[in-house]
Amino acid sequence: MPDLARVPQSILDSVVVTPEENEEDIRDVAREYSERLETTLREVIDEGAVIFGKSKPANRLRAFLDLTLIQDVPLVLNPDYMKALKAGLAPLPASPMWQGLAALPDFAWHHFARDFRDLLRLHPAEAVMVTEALRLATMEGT
Amino acid sequence: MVHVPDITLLKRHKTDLESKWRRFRDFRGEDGRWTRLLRRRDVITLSEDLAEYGEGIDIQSAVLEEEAILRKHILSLNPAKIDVVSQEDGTQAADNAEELRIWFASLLMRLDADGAVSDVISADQVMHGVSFWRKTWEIPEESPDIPEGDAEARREYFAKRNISETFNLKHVPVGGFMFMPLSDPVVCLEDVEIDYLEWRQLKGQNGKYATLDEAGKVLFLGESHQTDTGTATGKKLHLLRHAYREPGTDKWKVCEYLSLDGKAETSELMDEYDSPGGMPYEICPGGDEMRNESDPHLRYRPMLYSLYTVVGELNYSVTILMAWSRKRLGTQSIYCEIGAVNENGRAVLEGLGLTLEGAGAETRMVFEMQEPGSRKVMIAPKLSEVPMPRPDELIMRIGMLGQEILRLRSSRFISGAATAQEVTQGTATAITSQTQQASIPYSASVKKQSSFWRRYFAWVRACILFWDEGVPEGAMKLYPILTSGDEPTYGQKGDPGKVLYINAEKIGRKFETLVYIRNVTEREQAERDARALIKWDRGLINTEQLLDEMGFEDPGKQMRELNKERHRRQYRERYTTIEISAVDTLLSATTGINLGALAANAAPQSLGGNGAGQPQLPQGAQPIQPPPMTSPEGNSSALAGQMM
Repeated sequence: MPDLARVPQSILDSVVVTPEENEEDIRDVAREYSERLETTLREVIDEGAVIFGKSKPANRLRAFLDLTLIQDVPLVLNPDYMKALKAGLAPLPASPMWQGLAALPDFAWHHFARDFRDLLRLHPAEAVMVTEALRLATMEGT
Repeated sequence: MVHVPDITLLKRHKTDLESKWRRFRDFRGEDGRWTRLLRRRDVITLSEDLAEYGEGIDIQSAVLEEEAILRKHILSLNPAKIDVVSQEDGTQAADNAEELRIWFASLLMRLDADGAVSDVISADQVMHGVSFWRKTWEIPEESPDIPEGDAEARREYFAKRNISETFNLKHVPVGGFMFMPLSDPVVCLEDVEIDYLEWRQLKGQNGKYATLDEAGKVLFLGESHQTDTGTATGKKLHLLRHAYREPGTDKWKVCEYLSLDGKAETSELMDEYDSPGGMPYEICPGGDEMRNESDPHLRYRPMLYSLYTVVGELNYSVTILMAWSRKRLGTQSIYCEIGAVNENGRAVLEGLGLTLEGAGAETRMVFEMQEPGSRKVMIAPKLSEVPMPRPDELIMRIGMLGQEILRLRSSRFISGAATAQEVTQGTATAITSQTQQASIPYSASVKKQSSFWRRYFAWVRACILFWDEGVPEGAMKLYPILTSGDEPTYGQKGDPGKVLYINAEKIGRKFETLVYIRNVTEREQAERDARALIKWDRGLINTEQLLDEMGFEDPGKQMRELNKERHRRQYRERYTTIEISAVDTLLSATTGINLGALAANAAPQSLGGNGAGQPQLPQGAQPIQPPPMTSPEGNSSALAGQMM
């Protein structure tokens, strides 16, 4: 593959393409950057740069419980939440963690939400606890 | 239409083809004149008076073999690269074209691993002027064990299949193949001699193994490949593969026969089948093809043609010279006219052991050559020159042939053997011109190789479409290829270790397959680039012309790549900011630490005793408040106590 990074700017500035081609090229570059961003974020997660990365399941679950506000639980447990959020049919989460994840590319939300759901499935006692907490919160709200 | 039995058709076609291809095969066959010259096994017939002196003399030039290897290397200098250009609009079409490019490149990489095909084509172009290949195929069958509708299991099943089992190429030696007409063949005949152990494994249509009866006729009667009548042991058989286009259709039929002597009359039908995608052979002529010639010998001119003629004559001349010299030096006596000698003089000379012949003015002194091993030595007076007349014309001719060979050998400018003097004394333009001129025959042959691959990929496409004609997309066969990330493509390569699936729907889209093989050396390329840049810098050519002169096969496409690079540079800074912010957001969200604020204060922020990893909840927010939980041992759960 040619090393385009070494091409002098003067040659790049002399390139002539049609407006339609230019629009398509901008879209391609945007897609490239978007993929690159996703790769970077995945690396940050996979390499354990965030506390969930390589922690044991029990520690990860504890961290999720620590960082999740009770009113966000239904949102996180809903696999279609991001679609609903984008359609304006769901509120933004209140927990800073889930708020931040909702602002990132979709995969970040899905990655953590899926992990949280899977961990609850594997730890029935904690799942019961969360359900009970949610029930109490709902009662208090009404 | 009158039905012609296949064996009758074989006889008719074989006779016609053999007559047409006789001269081609006389020169290029296993025992052809050029083949013998190349292998330094030429048979040189000397005149009667020299024949006995030429015995054992075998001086044959190795220049042909050297040249064949060098030229083959030059032709294989750059590997073929693939591009696929979609002729439809839309992102889906572009994505399919991308997949097809990687898929075709991956297929090429497998078929041509270590130059298995391109090396042989190059060698054939150099030595014979044409290369023949048989296309082989095996239809991928569905697995009976996979339940209907289980797409995932089906994909896994197909993924296990090696694509080179489905499509492959087999080399056909040039002396064993004929076809006609030359421009658009409708009949092909392959005649291969196969060894005993090989043909003993072959089965006829009745499922029985091949054997020979006592009269030498092939029969398909053997119950196992080990059954042997005894008369067959060690014998070689001819496998005749007769392919022809059925008149009035585009369909090709292939009939395979076995025969002891290779004659149509004694051939026994072994198998017959249809050929998908058209002619089951691919032909790659050399760059010196003379398309107006109808005689294959004249049409397919090998790159070594001139050298064959010169080296043939050189071998002959040197052999004659050596035989002649042996005759003169080895067995004949030398006579020296000494004129009249008197009796005394004669007695003195004879007393010295010299032999005199004749009498009077015709007296001659004879110096007898001694046979090697006779333990005798020749006695002769001091002579200023042994009177041994030389065939000057022959020696001159050998010198001329040597010069001619030098002229015909690969240009030193292209083989990299130009002397320092030649390079330093020539101007850059003169050197470039020399190099370009020298590369003309190679460029033509390389172009034929590109066309060969293009036609082959078109055939692969035709097969896939043929096998799944009218089949709904979900039921179409899958053609997987495991990508290596090293595919020879112009454009994006595959991800290493990814399985790429192609089916008839994808390959049936409108696209053009392009195969490029560059034919310039690195030095030539550097010179070409420098010249083009100077012209562009002076405003003499535009950017598209610059790319064209630099040798980009598709300057328009390269312009788009450069345009993208322009946008990449334009947005790079903004992207970097976004990336830092996104990573900050991710880390802040999952640790609860506000990294932005941390950076702003440039000092660690107190978290009120919660420690790192604890979130900062908004004012008034309600955290999860579970009821106290009891552990199996009766103690309170630590987890519940840590809840906020």
